[in-house]
Amino acid sequence: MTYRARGRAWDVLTAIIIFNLAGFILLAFKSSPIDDQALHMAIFTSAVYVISYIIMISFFKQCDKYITLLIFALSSIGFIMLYRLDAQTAIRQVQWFMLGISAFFVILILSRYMRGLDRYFYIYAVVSVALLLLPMLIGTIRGGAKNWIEVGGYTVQPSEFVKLLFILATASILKEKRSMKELLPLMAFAAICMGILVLENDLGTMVIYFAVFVIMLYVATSNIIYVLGSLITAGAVGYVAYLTLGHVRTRVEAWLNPWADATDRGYQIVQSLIAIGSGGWLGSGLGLGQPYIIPAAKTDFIFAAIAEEFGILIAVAIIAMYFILIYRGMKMALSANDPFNALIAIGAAATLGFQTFVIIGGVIKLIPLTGVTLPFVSYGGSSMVASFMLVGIMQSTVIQPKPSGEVYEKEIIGERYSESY
Amino acid sequence: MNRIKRNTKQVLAVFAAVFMLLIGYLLYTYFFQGNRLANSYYNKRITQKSQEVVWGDIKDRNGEMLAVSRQKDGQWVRDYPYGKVTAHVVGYVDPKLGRAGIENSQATYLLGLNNGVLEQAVQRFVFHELHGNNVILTLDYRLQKAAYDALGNRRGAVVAMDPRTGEVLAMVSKPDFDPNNLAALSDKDALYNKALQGTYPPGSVFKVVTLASALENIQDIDSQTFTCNGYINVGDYKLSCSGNKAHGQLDITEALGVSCNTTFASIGLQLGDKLLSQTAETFLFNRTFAWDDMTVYASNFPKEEQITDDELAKDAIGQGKVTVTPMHMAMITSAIANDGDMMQPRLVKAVENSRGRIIRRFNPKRYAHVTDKPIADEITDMMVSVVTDGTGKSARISGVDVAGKTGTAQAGGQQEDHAWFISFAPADNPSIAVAVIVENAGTGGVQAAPVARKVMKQALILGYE
Ligand SMILES: [Zn+2]
Repeated sequence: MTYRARGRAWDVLTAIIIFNLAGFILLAFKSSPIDDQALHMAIFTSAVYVISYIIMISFFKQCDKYITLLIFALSSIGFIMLYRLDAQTAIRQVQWFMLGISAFFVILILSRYMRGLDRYFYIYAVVSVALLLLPMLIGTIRGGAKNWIEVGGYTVQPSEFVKLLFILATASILKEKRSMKELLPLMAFAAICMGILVLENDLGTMVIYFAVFVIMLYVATSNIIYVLGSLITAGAVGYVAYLTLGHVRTRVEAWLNPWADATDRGYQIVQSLIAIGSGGWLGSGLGLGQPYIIPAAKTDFIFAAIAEEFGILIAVAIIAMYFILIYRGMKMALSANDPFNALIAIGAAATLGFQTFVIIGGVIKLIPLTGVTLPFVSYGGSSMVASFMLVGIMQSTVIQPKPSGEVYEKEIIGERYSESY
Repeated sequence: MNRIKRNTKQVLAVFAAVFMLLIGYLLYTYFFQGNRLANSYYNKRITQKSQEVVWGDIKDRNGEMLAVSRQKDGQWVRDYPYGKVTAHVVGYVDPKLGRAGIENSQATYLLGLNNGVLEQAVQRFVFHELHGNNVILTLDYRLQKAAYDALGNRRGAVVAMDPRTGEVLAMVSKPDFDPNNLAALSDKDALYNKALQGTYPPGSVFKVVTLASALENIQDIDSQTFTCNGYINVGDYKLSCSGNKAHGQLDITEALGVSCNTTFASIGLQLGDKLLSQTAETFLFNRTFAWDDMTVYASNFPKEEQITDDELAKDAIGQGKVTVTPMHMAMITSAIANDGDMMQPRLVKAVENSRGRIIRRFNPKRYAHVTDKPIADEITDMMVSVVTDGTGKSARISGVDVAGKTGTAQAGGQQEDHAWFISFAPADNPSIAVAVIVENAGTGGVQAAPVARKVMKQALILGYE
């Protein structure tokens, strides 16, 4: 690593910190008397960023620090927007962020000691299906979708975490050239997962699982027939769903012409578009718009809220940041040393990328709306932690585990980097 | 592994394309719909802001006040000094009826929703009251009044615009309503702006479009002679000239002059459905115009796979299923006056802040090129003879060449015909174009042409040149 490169990353971090401080300070001085809590948030989140970054570059040198910086930038916009909408939500989001980044580091540490993660397809599959079934058994209905369970007073969305296992399971099978017959268990597993998600009415997540599955299948097999077959099946299933499931049809109709029923079915999308139109290139200014008018502004529609107050240019920049995140994730796949790791990096990058596309596309009416979160920005503990875990397994693909039996206790974390990377 | 890497690059390329699409669609939405979205009736920001901001004024192009906020018993109220005369253009804000007109489409400006942070700070801390911006219209109140008076108590609409710039100088719709006293409104239909939203059969004013198509597509149209026996049999259908009058031998200029249905029906048949509907689409039929300052309903030219000859003959003379809005007719007239270039109609000329400084100016925009200059010139010459020698004599103004075309459109059933007139003046260097419809009034040359004449004459007196 050259000095220049190191310097540039620090510059990026400095820019993010300045943005973060400026946002919270502005919010602090907007209210009278001055909102001390916003100032505390400014300092605290900035400190979290700096400390996390130092841990990153000290102990996980071979990982891509720019991905971490992108996550900081995105989460900072999220924190500021959430604080502006509701201070308590933002504080909880910071807690989720800390939990998430801890999980991220834990995964990086564990990956040094874990080998043979590609041997447990059936364990991943069984655990995945079990977790996905939980909400049906003990779940609560939220926003029309029955995909939540309650754990110790918190609601958890298992399908967020199963993304991780889904990628591991798929990569475990696809790491080698397989015959059609050998692929059947994987196909069955994927179909069961998606079936459960449909039953739980979690269509957005289902679409993400499907896209990630098809992408991994294509990358591993180069077989365009699998891709076309999957797409045709999906098209047929989607059409049948449109014809038979009332809520699917409602969504499609609300997408085709939200103005026909702007106060009811088209309400969310109409309010989202109006918010985007009301903001202008540079936005109404932080705290000067009325993003609280947008339904679900803290979760699904946070992108519209950001577009209103930060402006179209920042909104475009956010889309670009997600793309860079995916680009760097895929680059890790290109430098991976075995198919399993490459597939994991692709799977994780594709999940984050497709999820971003699905929700932003829905919010701007490019595609029908399905409620999923905008990774690292939307409020939500499950989403924040699971997104960090995805980036964790993505980044762990460049860490080579020690040969088993050679783990010395005295060896401190991070010593291995001087070796051959 | 190499295969995986190659495929990964392909997947990355797909993601790049998909994210470009996201950015592109976001920019498209903002750029082409942003204003209309922000001004939407469903934008609650407007309702909320109207409680803390004083609405800006609406003025005509000469500074005449058309809508003002006044203080009354310590409260701000909206007042429309010219009431009914400008009712449809200016619109209203009403807790029950919602918003309409400029009050609706320009609400974000009138409320200063897009004012910068600095402007808001200045108002808050220096003036201690938030004021919206003033909207200056292209309308000329004097012409608006002339059009309003000329139409009188008859139902219908008048649109006058500057063909060179697309600036709407007058827009009247009748019946009208009093925006200062909406509570007394008895008929909700009066709220509806027929100039933009009324779709009528155009009758013979559509012959201008058929003519443009003929001049473009039929080589020897100028040298053709037609024979009119007062009617023509198309299949089983008998299509006749006005009053079954036989016009005898005539060329195309004379046919337009006397508005000979027989001739234009046969021209339509000569052209065929494909060419005629192509020209109609070039003149922007079947298109909804959704601009920031107005929404104009789509005019209709039937698009059918199979069209019978009698349908085609009716289309060619503007009957059958052809419909048009008065605004679109004014746009077509203006395009012919403006060498074939159709300008985008505009109602808003500029926006100024509450201290009178212009913060936004709107410039003329060429919207479409509908025909070439030689054809536009030829149509102009023919339209001049309509007024000098033909059915449009009652639009004559001494000392000025007026180009015009009458229309008498069957309204269906036992109803009296709609009277149409389209015109512009002076013919060689047009400064005003007018489209008039008087509903169920009878003959265009008798009922509508004098209305257009009064508006054009007033414009010329006022020095529009
Ligand atoms: Zn005739």
